[in-house]
Amino acid sequence: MLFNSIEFIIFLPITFLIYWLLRRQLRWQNAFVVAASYLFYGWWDWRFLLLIAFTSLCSYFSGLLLGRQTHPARRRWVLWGNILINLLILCLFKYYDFFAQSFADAFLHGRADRLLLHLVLPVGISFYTFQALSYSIDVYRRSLPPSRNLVAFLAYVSFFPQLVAGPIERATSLLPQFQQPRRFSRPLAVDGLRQMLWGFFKKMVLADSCALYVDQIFAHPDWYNGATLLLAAVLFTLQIYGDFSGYSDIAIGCAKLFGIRLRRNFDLPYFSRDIAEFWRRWHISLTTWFRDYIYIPLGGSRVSRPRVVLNTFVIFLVSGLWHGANWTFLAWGAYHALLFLPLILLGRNRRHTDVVAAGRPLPSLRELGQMLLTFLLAVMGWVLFRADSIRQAIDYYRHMFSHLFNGAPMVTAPIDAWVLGLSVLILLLVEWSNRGQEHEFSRQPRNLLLRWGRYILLLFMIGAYMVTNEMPFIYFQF
Amino acid sequence: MKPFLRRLLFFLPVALVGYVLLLCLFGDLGWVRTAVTRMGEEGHLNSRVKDIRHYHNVDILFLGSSHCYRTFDTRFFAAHGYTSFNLGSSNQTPVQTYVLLSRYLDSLNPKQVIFEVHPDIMRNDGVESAVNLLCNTPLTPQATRMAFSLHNMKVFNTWLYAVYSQKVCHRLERFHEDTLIRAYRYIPGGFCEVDTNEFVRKRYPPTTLTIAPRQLRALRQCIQLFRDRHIPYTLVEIQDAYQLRRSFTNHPWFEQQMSALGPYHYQILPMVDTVHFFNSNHLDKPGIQLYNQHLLAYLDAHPITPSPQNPKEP
Repeated sequence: MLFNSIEFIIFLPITFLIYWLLRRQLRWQNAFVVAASYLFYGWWDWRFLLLIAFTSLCSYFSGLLLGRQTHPARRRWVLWGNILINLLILCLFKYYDFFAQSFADAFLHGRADRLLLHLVLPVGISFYTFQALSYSIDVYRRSLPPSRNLVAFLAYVSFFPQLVAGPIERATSLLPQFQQPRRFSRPLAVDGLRQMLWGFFKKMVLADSCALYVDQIFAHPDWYNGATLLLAAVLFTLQIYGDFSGYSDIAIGCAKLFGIRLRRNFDLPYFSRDIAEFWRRWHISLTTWFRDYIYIPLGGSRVSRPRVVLNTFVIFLVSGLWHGANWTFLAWGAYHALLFLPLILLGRNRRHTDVVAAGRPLPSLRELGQMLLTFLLAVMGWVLFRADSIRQAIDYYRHMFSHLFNGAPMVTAPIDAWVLGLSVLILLLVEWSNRGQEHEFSRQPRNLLLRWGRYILLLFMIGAYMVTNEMPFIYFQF
Repeated sequence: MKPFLRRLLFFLPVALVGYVLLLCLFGDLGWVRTAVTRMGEEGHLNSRVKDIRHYHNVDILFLGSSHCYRTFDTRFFAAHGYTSFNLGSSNQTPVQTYVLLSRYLDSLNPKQVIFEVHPDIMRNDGVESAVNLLCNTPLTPQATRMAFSLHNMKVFNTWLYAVYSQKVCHRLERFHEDTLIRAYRYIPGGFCEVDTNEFVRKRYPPTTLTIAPRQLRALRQCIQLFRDRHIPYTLVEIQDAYQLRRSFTNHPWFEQQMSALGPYHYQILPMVDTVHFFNSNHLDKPGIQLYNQHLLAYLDAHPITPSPQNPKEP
């Protein structure tokens, strides 16, 4: 079920009301969360439910085993057994065909017909697999006691708002919320609705409008001049942000309606002053997952310089591969590793941990320059991410730079240009004025008329400027 | 929780009023993507429904999409002794045809119906035609039901704007549509004439035809209207240019489905794409002449007989 579908508009209020009617019976309330989440997920294909149930049960029982075992070697075996099972499932569905095809391209002249399985990729498999894995690792590290409440655990893995595209939650923060009774909080619910509204705006107005232009240009990059290609790359940068952070906002806001707090996933990444700051603000739940479960165990930055280089590449390449089974994602990861390395080797990767232009309405010229440069570097990286193949990405860059001053960018229909211009302006104004807040639509005027006026304006923009077909979220494929 | 729900229930109608006001304001400026707020677009539906008042007890009623209003030249049939009216419109699917029939079938009281069916139309979602109908024809309860049944924001917004435009501002009555829109000239009786030929040879990817259940349902409802009134009908498919025709991988299946709904006529005539086609799926003047002669011969060879009450259905 998509958030931007009629089914969800019906599903959400019904689920909300039943959930709070069951507020005095925690077990039934959690069971209802599991049932609703499985319905939400099974809407795509009921067969996927078997997979998520299997993943959840593996992690649950491995957690119980880890709790019982005291012998370090046996505990390690249990942990690695669970990791292997989960990664095998993930690899089978997500990466097998990619590696088989690459093998065939290298050694069998591309004849991969007999090797390929053509399995359908279950929606959100990378997200819930990582969430389930984080639980096992945390139990192994004894930072969390094993859960003995199967229903609460199933609710933790399958909680529908964040099931298919994150944020990737940690058991240490989400699981206890399912083990304790929840109380309805009106301010939290109102804030949740507000955040959902902002998320819908980013997805349905900004991202989908950008997609109309971007898809057209990326389908035939050789037809257009350099300025058009640059504009398409910039618009894809906004599209992927609007799409993914929009989803996260809807998910976090939706969870708040159920009295559950999820972690922030995006913190104004395009206001970053360098790439290191960008990675602290982009897809935070995944970045911190890799940091805590791969980068730090590898030694992080507190090892020899060659190891730092290696660790940085490992983390970015794995991050690229996580996004999809294609060389373009690996190249995207390598590109960011190359941008990140100088900062970490020079010890300048934590220069910008504060809010940009804190206490000032506008950034300084230096900050503006830093932000623009970082944005431009991100734009160049997103071309790799969006391209279908390395070949297409190279052609895109070549065509863009060789014809950059070959005329003005192609403009779409006036109504689309108007929608794009207006939505980008609203995004900039709202996000800039909400720096340092809990989310980008936190700060609201005290005056009721002004506040409701803003909500109605956003609702109108969604209704009047959405792309009428239901457009799936980009990150569902990951 | 009760104060939260009370506030939410108070906010929703306020938001709806605000939404409608903004839609009307921005709609007047033409700044809404998901609403068609302009009357008098290609297809001349506005002229057609004003013209229809002058037609009663016609011999033939033509129904369908652009293939219909750009092919069945009512002047040609008049010259051969048939009075007729062409109630086709741009991308008109059976869903919209049903709305139009509910409104005009009794006043037109045709002796027989030629219902044009095209594979592209039968799998169409009906959105384009729905907004055309809402913009250019008076709002009726059937049109409102149709608007809500499509579950599409563009249709819903167009309906909201049509309520404001027709019921509050009374614009539809005052609006006068140009006889010539782009290259198309409206001819009284519903036909639209075009003098040019824009045919470009194109390749089409292989397409497996499907029929949208909603369209099939609506087509059956239309047929039921004819049966209730004992009006004979024929489902007619007009041929496409060669490459497009060739791209349909399962056309016999489509023919079978249509034949199961009643008399169905589809015949490939010896036409040359560059000579007889305006574009891949519309005929030009020589093509129209040829096709109408063929249809006339078909009608003469199949004299009108009342439609069976309960023909076999799939």
